[in-house]
Amino acid sequence: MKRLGWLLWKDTLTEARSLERLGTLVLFAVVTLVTLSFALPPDSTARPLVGAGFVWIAIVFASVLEFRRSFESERKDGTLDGLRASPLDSTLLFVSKALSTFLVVAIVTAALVPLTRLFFGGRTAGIGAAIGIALLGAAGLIAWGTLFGAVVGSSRAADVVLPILLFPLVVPQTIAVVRLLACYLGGVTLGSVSTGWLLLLAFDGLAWGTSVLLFEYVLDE
Amino acid sequence: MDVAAVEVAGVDRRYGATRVLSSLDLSVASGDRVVITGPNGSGKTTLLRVIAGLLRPTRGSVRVFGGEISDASVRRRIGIAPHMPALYPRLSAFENIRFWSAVYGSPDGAARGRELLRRLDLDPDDTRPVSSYSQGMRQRTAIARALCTDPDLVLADEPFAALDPSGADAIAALLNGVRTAIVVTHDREHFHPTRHLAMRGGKLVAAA
Repeated sequence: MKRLGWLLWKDTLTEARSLERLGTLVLFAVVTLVTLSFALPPDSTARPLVGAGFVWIAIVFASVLEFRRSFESERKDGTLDGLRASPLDSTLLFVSKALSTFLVVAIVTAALVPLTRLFFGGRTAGIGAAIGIALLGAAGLIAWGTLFGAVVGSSRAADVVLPILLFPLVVPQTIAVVRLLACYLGGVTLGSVSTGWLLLLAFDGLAWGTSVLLFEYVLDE
Repeated sequence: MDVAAVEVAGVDRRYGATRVLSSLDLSVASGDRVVITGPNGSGKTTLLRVIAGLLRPTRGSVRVFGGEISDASVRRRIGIAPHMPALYPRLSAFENIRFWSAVYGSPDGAARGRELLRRLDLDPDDTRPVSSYSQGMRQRTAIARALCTDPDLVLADEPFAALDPSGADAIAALLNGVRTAIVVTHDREHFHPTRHLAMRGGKLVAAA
């Protein structure tokens, strides 16, 4: 646990000293959401419902940029080799990378969800719950993203390969998150809410379990 | 009988169709300081990476202090100074040292690192990030990082590259004092090995 603390300390300090990058990432997510908001007529009754999907898309896009960067900088500076050659357990490295990414994505999410209410309408009372749902969805997304971020890190086509690998895997999370966001944020019930929760938690568990198990092999060369 | 610090037996390493290491054998006893020379692309760095466990050999075996390199207790005894300094650019030199000491579980690593930075003419209280350092300063910090855990075996890849004479002297003084070392370098002036090997055709031979 002490080592995990040091890994998080290192990532947090690095992140805090490059705040301009975090600001750019939030801006990117906001611009994506604003652009998508123009896809619907201003008076459309479907706006709150579609907004639930659009906010998730913006979170996924911003997360992909973060997954890519997380390992790219470690490889570029040679520190990933340093970590691989150290007595550190690969599971700890995975967990620390995933938690550091989660922190960044949480900031993006906390900024985006209230804006969804602004641009797409819906229930103000549901914003808190909607942030929680988006974070729960992001947890699974981040597990897969950290794994595949490490896989494609040194590939020349990483920018394209990462979404190709990642997006199909997060379809269950996407279905669950959008269903729940539509309910809590848009006040629209899309099928069973309890099934949405079950789907989200089950696929989060699957994403974390599989990623932790596979990460050691991914790091190996 | 003393266990060899490093025992490399029949190691092949291929990159695609290119065979970089070819049935390579190497035994390094505790207390040996080995220098490996050879032309660029001859496989020196690949050999160091195989010993450090960063690359798997295509064939053959590597044992360090009688154990597998994947064993955390073995890794803890190795200090690595790779060609790239392996430092976090947004952290200061001492923050880097503190971090790596903690990762290696070395309780007095930070204090030792502070002293090493001083001996390498770097200020441990300098709060500037490593990214603002010159290449030579980064190289010296990387050596302090590799030695701060008081390793039993040091693997160093071109530790004298990008250094002015005084910096090279300071690093050489430290490397000449380590227990066991394998150093890849073209610099024959500073490091004083107990054995000199040269890489030829993917194998190691005694150098003239």
